[in-house]
Amino acid sequence: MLLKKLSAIPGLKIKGTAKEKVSVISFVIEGIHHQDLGILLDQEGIAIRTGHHCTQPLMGHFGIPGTARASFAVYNTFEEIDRLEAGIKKAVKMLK
Amino acid sequence: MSSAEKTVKEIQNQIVEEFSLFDEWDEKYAYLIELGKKLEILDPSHKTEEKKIKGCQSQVWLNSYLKDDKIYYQADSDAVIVKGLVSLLVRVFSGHPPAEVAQADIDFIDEIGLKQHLSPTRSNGLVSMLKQMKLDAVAFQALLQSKQ
Repeated sequence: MLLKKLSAIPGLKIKGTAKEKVSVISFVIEGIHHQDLGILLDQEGIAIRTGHHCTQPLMGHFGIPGTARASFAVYNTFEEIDRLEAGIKKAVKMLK
Repeated sequence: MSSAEKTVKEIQNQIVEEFSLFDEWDEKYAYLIELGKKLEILDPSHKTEEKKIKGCQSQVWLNSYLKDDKIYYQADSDAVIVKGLVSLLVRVFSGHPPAEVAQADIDFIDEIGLKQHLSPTRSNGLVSMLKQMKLDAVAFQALLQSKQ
């Protein structure tokens, strides 16, 4: 559900699409720096991680300076997925 | 530029006044983004490894020079909000005697509610940039004194 919603955002690309993976989604948005996105989501009370996540060789492999990453756990709700989606859309609008 | 005639403290007060017009966080950040996009382009010849201030998340390039015994800064960043914050620091510190910059307290960032971007735990290059701006001012101050 989250994957579907995020993939529908124009310019958003998911990094790491293995079939069996844990509940983290790393992504980049064309023309937007991950830190800017992180700062704006933070203002909305949404905590994501940004940067190279201490995996510089992997980022080098993808040819990107870093990603934004949302991590989900058992306590997260569907409503929070909607808030993340809305938050990203708002941030993209502000930054473009 | 008229800002050159004002003191570091006066320019900081002016920025605090500008930001006091915004009630909501998104207005404040929209203004920062606008400032970031408007920051004077740093000549690519200055975007070298040597002038790069490394951060974990975003990068900042800083160039400083002395003109008529006053210090001037130029800077750039790959993240636009950081660039907006950088442009504020450039505006506050440029066009003053190096000694004034070296001794200046920076409190406007706290007053406009953006202090979290300058906390040492945020490894975004901004703290290092502020430190480098001061170091450059100290270096130019020493240069001016040696000429006297």
